[in-house]
Amino acid sequence: MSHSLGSVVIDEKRAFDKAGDLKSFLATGDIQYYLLPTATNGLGLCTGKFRTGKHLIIKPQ
Amino acid sequence: MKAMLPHGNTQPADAGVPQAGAGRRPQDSRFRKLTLPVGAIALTLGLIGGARAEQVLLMNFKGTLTMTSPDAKLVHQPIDSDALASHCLQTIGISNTGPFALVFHQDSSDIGDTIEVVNKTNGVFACGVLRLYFQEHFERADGTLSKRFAYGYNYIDGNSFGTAILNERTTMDKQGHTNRFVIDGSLQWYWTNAMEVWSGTFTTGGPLTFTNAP
Repeated sequence: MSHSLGSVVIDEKRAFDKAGDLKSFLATGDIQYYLLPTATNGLGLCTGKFRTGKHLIIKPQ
Repeated sequence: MKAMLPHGNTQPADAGVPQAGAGRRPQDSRFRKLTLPVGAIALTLGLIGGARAEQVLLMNFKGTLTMTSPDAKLVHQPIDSDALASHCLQTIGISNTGPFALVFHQDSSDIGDTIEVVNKTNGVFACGVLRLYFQEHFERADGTLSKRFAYGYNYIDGNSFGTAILNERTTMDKQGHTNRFVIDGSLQWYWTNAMEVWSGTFTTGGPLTFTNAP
């Protein structure tokens, strides 16, 4: 990896219960970056906002 | 993070600001006859090649400054052009923002544009907000839209500390002459000397002409 292709501003919000355990987590933010040209596509620009959902729980096989 | 190369802009404080008469046309008619076709060719080549010209545009910024308060809380503060200019001017000890304006200095150097605070009357550079360098861009074939990605640098450190997306929009009349030019876009960066994150959108106004340029 030689250098960056963009930036993201992230807001991370955490809520804790009375025992101090993490109750919820939410990340939102703004993204802007560019996509390097490929054999089939030229330069691309991508901008947008994101918001995370629930935790993914990966169950063991 | 993208480090700024050693040949980065180290211009003096008032460099790059249009000087009085810089764009003045020659008064000699023979020379004018000669220069008009050359100018037309240059304009045509410019449109084909997506070339840009140095100019200073008034800038309207709206965004948010997020910082840590003394009691360790995160504060989200709305920021406009005046507040951004004021913050910049405070770094050089100026508290009266009245004589100054936030501007977008297109093609301030051969590696990009800058967002600056200048004196409204004479155009003299006061302080710099962001240098938008090493741009990646593509254009519409008719030259009416250029979309750009830029790395943001401050005036202290060599590493980038933000990015910008720029849309340069040109509208033309039926004869193909430019009748309106606007840049809008989004900016996000952090301030190296403090725990501050800035983000927002901007639109430029018309080109600034200075009545009392030095």
